[in-house]
Amino acid sequence: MNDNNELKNKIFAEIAKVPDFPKIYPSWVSVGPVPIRLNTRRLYSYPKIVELFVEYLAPMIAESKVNLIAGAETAGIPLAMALSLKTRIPFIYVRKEEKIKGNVSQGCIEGDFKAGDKAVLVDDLLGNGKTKLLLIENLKKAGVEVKSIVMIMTTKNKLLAGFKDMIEQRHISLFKIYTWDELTSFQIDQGIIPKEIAPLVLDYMQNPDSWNDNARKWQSYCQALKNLNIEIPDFLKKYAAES
Amino acid sequence: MPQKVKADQKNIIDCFIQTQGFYLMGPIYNPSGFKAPFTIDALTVLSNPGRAAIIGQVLGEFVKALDVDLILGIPNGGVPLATIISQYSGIPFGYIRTEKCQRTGELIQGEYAGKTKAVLVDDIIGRGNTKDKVLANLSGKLKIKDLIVLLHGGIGYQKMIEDWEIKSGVKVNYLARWDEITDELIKAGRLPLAVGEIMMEYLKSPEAFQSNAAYWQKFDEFKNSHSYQTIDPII
Repeated sequence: MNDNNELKNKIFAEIAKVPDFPKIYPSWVSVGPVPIRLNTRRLYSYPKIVELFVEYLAPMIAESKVNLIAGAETAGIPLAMALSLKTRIPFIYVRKEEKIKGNVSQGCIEGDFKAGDKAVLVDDLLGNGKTKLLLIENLKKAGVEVKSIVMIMTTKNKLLAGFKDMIEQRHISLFKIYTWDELTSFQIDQGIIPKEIAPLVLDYMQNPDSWNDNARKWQSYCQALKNLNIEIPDFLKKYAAES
Repeated sequence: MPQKVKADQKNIIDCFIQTQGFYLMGPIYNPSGFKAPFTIDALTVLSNPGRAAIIGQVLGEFVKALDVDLILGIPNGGVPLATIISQYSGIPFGYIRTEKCQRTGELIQGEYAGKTKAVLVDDIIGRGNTKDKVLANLSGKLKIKDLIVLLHGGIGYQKMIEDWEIKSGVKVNYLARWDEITDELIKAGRLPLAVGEIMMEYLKSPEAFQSNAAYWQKFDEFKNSHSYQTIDPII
């Protein structure tokens, strides 16, 4: 399906109104330190943005020919629920681990479903794809076949290519609204990401793995942050001292 | 005193009694610590988008009358309901973890900067144990005056819920009571009579039911004469 650029631009324009998005201050996330952080979950707090996400993704779900919308625990649940309301396709959510009450397993799925159902898996973003594979397996164990995955954003990750191959082999389609690169380019153009750090942020977007323990890159970033009077967090202070 | 949200009661009751997979085989320990012969899965009601929309409209209107600027879902059961309420009211949504994220230290997911008054949302209330954890974690970051739940745990929980309201200073607002729904399911012929009878006794007093040998025997008789496994849907 072709991108709906007009709608995507509307979404970017709404996101541009969100204060401190992205947070320029470096953060420590699952993959280690990142120069800037896009906490996509903050966007759920803006009903207008959620409405636009749903408008963008609903036709993709129609194309998937599914009879269930499965939210990924926990960050995929709000988007999945909103998509269910819009498309009138029933909603469930899938856990990473079985829910155990007392000594009884209640399985990984919450909501009304039956074996043989076909689902779209909904999440906020795609990092390296490991969690998605786990959730696809959990749905499969319950007899639910994942036909497609939809999400708000995808990132660049060296493991993602392998994930995409696995998904293709299973004939699962991937849909997203935007890539991190696309949003970042927009935010640089709009001056939301300061020009002083833009080349470094773009470099990170293109080669996130090349930043792992790369003292030279982190020193350059710390220097740029100092020039912007942005405080250096503790986990980067070793680079700040050398910059 | 917990308060039922004003709505067309027939419409609301229908949402529950028409839902497949709502009543499940037990026994099961519920979050309040009581062993229940049967249980319910409140979320199945929201699986159906038509019913979710009815509930969203009612609670969306209700929340607009509250003086709040954030709707906070309690994971996982409260998150879908909080999303719907936000969609229908236009009031921002977030969700709160029962424990801080180990990686980021975050407690609230969503935009809460500048927000001061939130309403908590969950699927059901019994003793209020989960809500206590959430309120302790919030430790005054946001003012919480109201809790919205789909279901009140039943008449046997009334006193416990009232006590929780006094202790927490949070008012409980609910759409329906578990025993009312059970009664309607019996009247509609949707629930086996034995299940209905056992559950009405349990819901009168979950505490007293724990040592009620006669009713546990009835439960065993039902279980032995049917092929249901624990958590299999009964309706």
